[in-house]
Amino acid sequence: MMVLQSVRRQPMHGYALVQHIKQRSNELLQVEEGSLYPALQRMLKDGLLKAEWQLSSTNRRVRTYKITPAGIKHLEREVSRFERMLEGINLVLTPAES
Amino acid sequence: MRWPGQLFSRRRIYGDLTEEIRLHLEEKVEALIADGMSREDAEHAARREFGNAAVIEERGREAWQWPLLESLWADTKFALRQLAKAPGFSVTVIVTIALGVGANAAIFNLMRAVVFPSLPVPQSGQLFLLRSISTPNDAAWLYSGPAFDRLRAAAPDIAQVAAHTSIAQCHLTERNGENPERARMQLVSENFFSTLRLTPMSGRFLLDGDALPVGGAWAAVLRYGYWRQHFAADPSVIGRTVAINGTPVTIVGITPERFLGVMPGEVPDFWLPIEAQKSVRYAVPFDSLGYGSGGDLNAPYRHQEPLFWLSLIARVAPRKEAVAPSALTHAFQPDLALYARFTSEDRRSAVLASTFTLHPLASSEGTMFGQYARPLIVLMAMVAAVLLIACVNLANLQSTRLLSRQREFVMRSSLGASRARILQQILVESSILTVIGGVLALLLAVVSGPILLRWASQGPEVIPLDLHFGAEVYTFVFALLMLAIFAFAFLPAGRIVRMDLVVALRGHASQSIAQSTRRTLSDILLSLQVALSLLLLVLASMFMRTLVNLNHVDTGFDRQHILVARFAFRSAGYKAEKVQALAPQMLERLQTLPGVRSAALDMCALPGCLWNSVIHVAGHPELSEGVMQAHQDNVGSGYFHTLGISVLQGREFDDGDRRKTQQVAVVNRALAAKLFGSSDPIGQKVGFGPPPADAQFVIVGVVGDVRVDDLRSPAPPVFYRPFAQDSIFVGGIEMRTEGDPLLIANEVHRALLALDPRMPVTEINSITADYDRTLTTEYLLVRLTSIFGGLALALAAIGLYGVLSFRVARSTSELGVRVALGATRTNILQLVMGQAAVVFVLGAIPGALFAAIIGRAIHGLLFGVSGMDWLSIFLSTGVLGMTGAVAAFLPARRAASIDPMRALRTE
Repeated sequence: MMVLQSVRRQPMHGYALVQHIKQRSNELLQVEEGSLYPALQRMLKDGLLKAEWQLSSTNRRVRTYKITPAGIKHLEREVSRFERMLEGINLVLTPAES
Repeated sequence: MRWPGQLFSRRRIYGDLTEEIRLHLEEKVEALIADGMSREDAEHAARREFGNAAVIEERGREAWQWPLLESLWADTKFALRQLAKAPGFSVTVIVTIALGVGANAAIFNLMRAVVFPSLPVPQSGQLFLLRSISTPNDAAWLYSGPAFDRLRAAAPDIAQVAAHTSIAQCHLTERNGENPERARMQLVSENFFSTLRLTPMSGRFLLDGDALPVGGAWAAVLRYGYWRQHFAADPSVIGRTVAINGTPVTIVGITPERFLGVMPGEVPDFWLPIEAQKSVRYAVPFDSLGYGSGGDLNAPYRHQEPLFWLSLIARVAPRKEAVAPSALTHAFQPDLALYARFTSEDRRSAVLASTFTLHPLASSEGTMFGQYARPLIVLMAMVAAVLLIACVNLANLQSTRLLSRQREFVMRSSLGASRARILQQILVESSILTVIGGVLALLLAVVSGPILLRWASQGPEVIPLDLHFGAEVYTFVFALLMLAIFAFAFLPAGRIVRMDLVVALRGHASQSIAQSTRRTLSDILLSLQVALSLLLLVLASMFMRTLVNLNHVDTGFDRQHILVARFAFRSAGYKAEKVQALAPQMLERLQTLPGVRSAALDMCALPGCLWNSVIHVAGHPELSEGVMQAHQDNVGSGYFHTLGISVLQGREFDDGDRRKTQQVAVVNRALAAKLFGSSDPIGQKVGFGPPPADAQFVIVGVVGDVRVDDLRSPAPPVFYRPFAQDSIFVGGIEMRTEGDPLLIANEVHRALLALDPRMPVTEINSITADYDRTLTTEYLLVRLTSIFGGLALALAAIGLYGVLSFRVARSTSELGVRVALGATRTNILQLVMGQAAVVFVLGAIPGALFAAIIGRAIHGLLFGVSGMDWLSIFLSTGVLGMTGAVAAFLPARRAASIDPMRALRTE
């Protein structure tokens, strides 16, 4: 979900994605870098992303991922599900109105 | 669907991934170097933070795979390679499975065909056999023509009733009488085929209009198999007229291929309308209410009340099975009243209360069932035992193979294979072997089916059973293959799963030959094999002894020297007067032949074709039905002398007994004892009916008992009448010969044909050959049990040899140590053979006990052999022991010739 959202905002390659997530979460989410790649492959297979070899701003050869329309739809569905779940948990956890 | 495209571009995808990861790491390293790390430290840190690149790459690839399929495919390729490298093992396993499962499938199919014969008609579950009261003399379920008409009209929307007779031999010729051949016919009602809802393969079936002949010819339906066999599948046969027993018959249709009639095991070639009965001279079997009931055998049976000759079947509408019997019983009342009139007082009320019962036609017992059901059950049990032995062998074989592949498994395990993965590979390997074995097993079953039928058939014709492979056979084979896989793969593989990897990796963990925890299980299994093999051998031996005993039984006449010529005068159209004139000429001619000591006429030649009659004794009306029942035979003069039957009292028939002289009869000892007890039978008067018809004949002689039915049944009571006084068509002539009867068979045939070139001689054979036909079940059992016993013996020997060989090989170093410490060759031999001996004894004792128990249970199939047949047990134990000793000796000898230096060096 986070990968899709990040890529939606701006297409990027694997290394940049890892940095992006680390920064945005204020270092709260430490993810093993390598585990990103199997996830990216799965999303590629399912057609949520597409990949292209490009030249980055620093002149390196990188494989950039872009989100697809199907990916956008999937992301929105997942986000709304997540928000509903969060709301539900919140309701349970907040003390009852007196 | 995107995956087809993905399949082809996989290599590119994998390449991209590898490249990507490499670049990621490069970027990372440069970023760390920019932060101040040294190149070396940066590279280590980058790899650490990234994670295990190889595993990650593999996980990435997995996203594009179907892991299960891929691993199975890899396993299959690997298994095929491994199996090709171990041909001995593979072939042994495949052959074991093929033989074990194939034999079981063949017997199972035979059993299914006999016990649950198929009736290939639509909705066969709606068809039933109708049974009410049984006939007075023969206790058969036969009914009269008028009864059939009443039942047919009774409730047509609930039960469609049709009738058929049993099957009779007939004489088939061209219209002009040429090309005579024997065939079988069955008479059926016009609605027979429509009740069965069959559609003809060609032409049409019988219709209502066929109750009368058209242009002098009756309509007939032909069986598919006979059409192919006799008419060479000629399509123009429809509409052709042929002659059956001299009467013209037009073929109107052909049945579908798989239809073999409604009586399992009895297959007619032609179906004719019941109205044709008199024209085609259909005569037997029938029963009647007896003397005085008004039946006339010379008039057509169709509309006679007191003649019972039709079997009834019905198609009952769905869910009406409960109401059908009462509707039928109601319509049957007039017939029950008729029966009651001719029944004794005490049984009258029981007769009037009889009702109809429905018996499913699709699983009705044919004539085959009673005879073959029990032997088949015995055979099924035996062949299952063979399979069990085979499975034990398979388990042992696989076990030893897996143990020797332990290093390979350990290596794979350390490379990351889970135990489940290793098990999967073993399973794939076992499944490949099992599937190949299974296919061969099916082939074996298909091929052996006709052979089994041939062995089970009496006489020259093979029993026509439908051995078509249905769903049940395939299911059965599949279940057995699952069992084989279980024995073959799971049990030994379970051991693998629990093995200790570290110990295994250290090298051939050599075992002590004298003790091992794993030894116990395989010893128990070996003993089980010994027990089962002993059981099968004892059974085979008991059946063999039964056969020998039966062949040597005293039949009461000179069995070894009798030649029998059989005739079919009636169905060939001969008139009674002509046969009567011919008979003395035939006897005279035959008696002049050198090699023929004497000849005599018989109404039907032995064994097994005599009528049942009721003999009333004058002055003793109190005798019960059971006492008065006897077989009847009409014989010519000099019959007893010819056959070598001893005349115990009085005289036998001679030429003085003629039509106009006193009507005489002869009884055998058994009948004399039943009718007269200890008083003298000579001079007593008897007859076929109650007074005053009970004083028709005078008894002039008492003869010895003869086993007239078969070799097993004790001699029944028989009542003899002379041909001259009670003329019937001559069924056979028996001749006493000097030497082997078959030697003069050809001469006899020539002599008879010289008298009359068209004489319908159906067979000339020694009487021993005819009695042998009554022993088909016994021969079948002996053949098959010997095969199974031999198979079991071979499998058990192979199993013992295999296991001991393996143990010796695994304990090479220990044996080397023993020899080096001073053990002699004899000691080693004793050590190994001793193990085999223990296994043998532990198996033989329960095996012998089990054999005794089973022997008691199958007592009915044996003859002259008690259930606890010590001779058989002793012999079989001997044979098994010797085989086992040889099987054990070979590895023992190998063990004893171990060179201690070489043995210790292999460690």
